[in-house]
Amino acid sequence: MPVDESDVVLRARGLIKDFGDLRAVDGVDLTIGWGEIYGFLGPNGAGKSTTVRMLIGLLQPTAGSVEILGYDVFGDPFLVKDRIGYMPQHFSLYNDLTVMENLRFYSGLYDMTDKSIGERIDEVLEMVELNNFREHITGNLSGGMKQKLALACALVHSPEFLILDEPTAGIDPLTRRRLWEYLYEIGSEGIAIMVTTHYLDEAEHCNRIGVIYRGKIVAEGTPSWIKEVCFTGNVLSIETDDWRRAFYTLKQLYPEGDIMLFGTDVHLVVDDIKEGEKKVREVMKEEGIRVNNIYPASPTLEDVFIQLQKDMEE
Amino acid sequence: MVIRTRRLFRMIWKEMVHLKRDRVSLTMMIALPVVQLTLFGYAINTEVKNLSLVVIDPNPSSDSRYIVESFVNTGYFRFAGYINCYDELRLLLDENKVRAGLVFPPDFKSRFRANKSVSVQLIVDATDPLASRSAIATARALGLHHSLRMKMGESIAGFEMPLDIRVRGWYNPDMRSADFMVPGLIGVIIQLITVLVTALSVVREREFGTMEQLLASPLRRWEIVVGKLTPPLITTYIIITISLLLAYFVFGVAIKGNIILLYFLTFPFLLVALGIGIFISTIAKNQLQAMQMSFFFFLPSIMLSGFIFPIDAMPNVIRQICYAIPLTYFLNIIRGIIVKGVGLYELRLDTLVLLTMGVLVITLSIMRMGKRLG
Repeated sequence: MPVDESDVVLRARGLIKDFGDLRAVDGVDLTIGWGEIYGFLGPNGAGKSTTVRMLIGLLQPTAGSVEILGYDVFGDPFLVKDRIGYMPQHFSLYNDLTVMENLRFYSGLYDMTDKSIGERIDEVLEMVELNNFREHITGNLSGGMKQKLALACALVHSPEFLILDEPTAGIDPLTRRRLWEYLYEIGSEGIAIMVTTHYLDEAEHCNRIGVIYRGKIVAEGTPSWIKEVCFTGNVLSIETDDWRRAFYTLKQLYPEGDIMLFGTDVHLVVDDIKEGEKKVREVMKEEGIRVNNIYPASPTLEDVFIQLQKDMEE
Repeated sequence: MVIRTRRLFRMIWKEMVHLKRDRVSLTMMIALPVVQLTLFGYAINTEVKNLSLVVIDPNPSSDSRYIVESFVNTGYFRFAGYINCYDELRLLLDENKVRAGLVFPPDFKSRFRANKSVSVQLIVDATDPLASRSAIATARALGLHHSLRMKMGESIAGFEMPLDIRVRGWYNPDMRSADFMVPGLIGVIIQLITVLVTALSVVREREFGTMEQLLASPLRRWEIVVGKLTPPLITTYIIITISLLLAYFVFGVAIKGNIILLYFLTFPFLLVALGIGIFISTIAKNQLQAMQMSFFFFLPSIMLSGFIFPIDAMPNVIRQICYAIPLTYFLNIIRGIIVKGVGLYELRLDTLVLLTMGVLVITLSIMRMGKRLG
């Protein structure tokens, strides 16, 4: 799924970061183009934040290069910083400042005219629905609102490339959905977006995802492509009366197998659908668990991810 | 050009808003010098007066009373009553009830009248050498005075000493310790506030993760540093002004030299203090550590800068350390201008040292600041 050469916004080559003996990032190549929402997926500690911080020049890589909008991030850091928006993993606005003061502060740091600053602040506040909270002290806002404000601050200078590090971590599902709606809206304006997350369901919102595991990108492509190519086996979805017992029974039956809960259904990865179904029904009958339905399901990213992780560990 | 100045302006503006919102710190910054100066200005007094004195006198007479009176009249002793024996004196000294005891022999009156040599014993609690020293000196002087009187009789008025050493204390002829202590205290206080406020404000940004966002913006490192330094710089000048007013109206410490020169020459010292604050913040991981490091720096500053103990009296090795302490030079400047009334020429060396130290430590901090993020 290569990005067209003329569309490249970010290009990273062979990024490596060592912390002492630990190689946190191990040869990451990335290309992101205009209008893309790129999901950077991986478990905690996989090297997501380290990679992101190298991409925007906050951290000197041990080896490798990063170009954003045609500029070398480490050669012309300020040309790059002027054009990108960054939302760090941890909330990083000033709690003792008001909403407006935070926006006024961040907008004042970028290459904008005073007039456009005023208009732009109105615009982003409108978008994240914080118009009525202008004079509120940031520290008194709810977690979701703080996150919306952080997004507004990252956007206030109209960046051409937006990087969000775990923007939805620890916020309520409703605000999470709203944040994604904003991202679609911003993405539709043509700017490039990179989002890191460890929520697998969120990756489905992206145009393209890259999966990072132990510092390496182990899979990259559109969500559907990844599901098709990176996944071997078939998923059986099992609906029962007692999903808890069903889950543990199956876990005993397939100690090495990929078993996971999907809502109250149990997902089981088998080589052969027919044979698998027969075996499951037998075991369930023995245990006296009533099976309501068994059907082949399409793998979710979560299924893919668990398999990828397992493959990597082997 | 416009954007460049706006970035710096926004950074300073933000710091001012922080300061405005942080009422507790702001109040502390203003209250600290007032409280400290008032307390220390009165309490730190190296002239020890009014030591309580008891007297053991088996045969009280007008002559022994005359001697006791002469002790009390010096102002260094305060008569606390007669007691009967040594044991009683020991108990009183042990319990810190009195600081000195004067012991007359039983035959004092007869020997004194006969102009015969007679010993009077002064026992002093020398736990505090500073306090006992002036008491001892006073007692010796009294002994000499009374001996002369006994030998010369009434002709003492016309007596000329063969060797007459006359002492004149320059700059502070009345030997007022406030004149010495208060300017020093101002130096200590402004160093405390500047270092602490600067260190904490930068560390806070790191602790709350806001530093990350600042460094991801086009803000230059020096703009962050200058933005951080400006508000404490302004507040410190306000504090100095309050302290000088307090020094004048409460302690009667007037500025003999040029006050404008004092404000100017304070700047190199503030540069060093601010730089040390920033430097601490590049090492400390959180506000608590920054506090501890600041105090680790304050203690030698107070002990070895000549704030209380004169540097000349220190052993050679220690003296080398004294000269590495910025406060040493600033105390020369502030005491020089306030007490001695000297000008820029006399203070050129101190100013130069502080300027060099300031530029060095700030440059070092700016360099460390970026690297520290990794």
